[in-house]
Amino acid sequence: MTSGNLLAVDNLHTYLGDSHIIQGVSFAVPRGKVVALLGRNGAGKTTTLRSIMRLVPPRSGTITLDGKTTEGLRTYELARRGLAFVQETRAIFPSLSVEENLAIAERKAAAGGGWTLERVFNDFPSLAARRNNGGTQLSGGEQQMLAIARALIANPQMLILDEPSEGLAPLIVRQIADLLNKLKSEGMTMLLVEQNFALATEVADDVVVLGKGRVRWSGTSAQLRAADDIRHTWLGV
Amino acid sequence: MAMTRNNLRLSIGVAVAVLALITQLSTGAFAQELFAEAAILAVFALSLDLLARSGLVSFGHAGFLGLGAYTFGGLAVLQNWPPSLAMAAALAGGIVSGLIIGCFAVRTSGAFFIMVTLAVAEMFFSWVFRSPLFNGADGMGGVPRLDMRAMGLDLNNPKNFATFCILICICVWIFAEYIIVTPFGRTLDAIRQNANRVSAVGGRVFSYRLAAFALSGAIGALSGALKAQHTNFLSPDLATWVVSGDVLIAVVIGGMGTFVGGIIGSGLLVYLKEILSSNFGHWYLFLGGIFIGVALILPRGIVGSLLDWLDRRNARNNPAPAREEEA
Repeated sequence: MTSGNLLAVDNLHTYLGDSHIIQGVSFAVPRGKVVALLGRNGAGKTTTLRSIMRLVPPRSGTITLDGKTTEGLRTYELARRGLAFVQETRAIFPSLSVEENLAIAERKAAAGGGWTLERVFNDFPSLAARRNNGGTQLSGGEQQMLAIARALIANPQMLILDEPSEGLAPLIVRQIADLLNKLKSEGMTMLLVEQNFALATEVADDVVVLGKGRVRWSGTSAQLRAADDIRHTWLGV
Repeated sequence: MAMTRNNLRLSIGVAVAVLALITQLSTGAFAQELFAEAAILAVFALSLDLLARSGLVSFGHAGFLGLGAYTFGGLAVLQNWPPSLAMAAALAGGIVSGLIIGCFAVRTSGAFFIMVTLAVAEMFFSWVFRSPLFNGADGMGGVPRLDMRAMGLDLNNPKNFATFCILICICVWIFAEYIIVTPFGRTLDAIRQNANRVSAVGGRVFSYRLAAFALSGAIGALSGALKAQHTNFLSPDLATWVVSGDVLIAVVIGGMGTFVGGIIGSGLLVYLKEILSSNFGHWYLFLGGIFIGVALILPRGIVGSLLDWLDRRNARNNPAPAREEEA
């Protein structure tokens, strides 16, 4: 495994209509590390992720994956190159069964082994019990687990998670945190957007604080916990 | 075991098929013509509804019907091709034109897709309307029917032709029902629900929609080839937007995305047109009124509303079991 940055975002500018949402954001996600993007509502966290996945086209700036620019690539090509995006609000396909939701994203690992349907059902027993159930018959926690499992079964190089804890009960947030910690210990690179400060700083190695479309601070999780002024100004915690 | 949506849908389909075949055999020649017309419209409706599974609603589907009719009729009349070969050519024409038009059409969606498909169909209409090859606006007669006398079936007999059309419709219906349970069909479903999500998990939405469009084009062309055989005549009117509108009405009234709904809608449309046009001058006015009424009372179409009712009933009878907190 080579070191260095798996994903690098440099001077990213994104507009939604006439609004200049992302105003020159730069950060990097080193291979094997977990980076959290924090910030208040409207800070541009989700738009940054959507720009990386090219679900919204950035106006300017470069994004490199594995040292190669992603310019000109489409969303599905980025997914096939190893970016697995777990979208906000548990973006599963409601009319598809649990198994079909997984099958649609399944891709064999380059080096063999990796995540298969069997391993997913082994590691997510609550999904195994509902493998033939429709997506709408799952609880919120199960839907979020399914969304994460669906990202893993593509055997990605990197997980991009948009608020995985949103709207979930504390007990289930704990399960999500444990899952993310386990994935981290297995060496999975992750970019995490979170409102839940405790969860984010527990899982992440590095934190990038966004405010009004710009990077306001970056450092380690431990440094952020100590930096009271930053937390008050840009995160309100 | 409660009745599921799918089982109800399939049961209605089988019931309609059996009923159509039996009733058709015991009616007169005039009614058999109507049965053939309804079955052909139903094939056309299935073509539109299959495309709708991928989230695309076309308002130029008559282009495929016209293309199938003119490919079949043109080759059979002008080139003296055997009708079976001409029919295969019509299907191939549907696929090829679907792939070509789809290359730019399926990159759009919603109102843009409606406009693109409408424009392409009107281009085809304008071409055949002026083309000296096909007698332009006057149309062209003498289109033969498929020769199945070797199998002891003379399709020039209205009863035989109606049976033939109904059987083709049943085959297309089974094919459509098969397609939607394959991984390809399930992916179309996912695309209809959220195309961005499909891209985000690595699915190339364009390819799936293009394939659906070509498949739909082939079935649309098939219905056109049948239509030309039914009337023994080619007319530019086959490709007008009114034809695209009629099939859309049939599918919406029956229930979009249910397949059997479009079949029922087609039967209803043909029947009402016949009744109304023989009794009233401004019969389209009455037809429009009836459809507005149905749309208001059953917003999801006849079969769609029935399926929703089933869902509500099942939910009432088997409330979801309480979940454990740990989920």
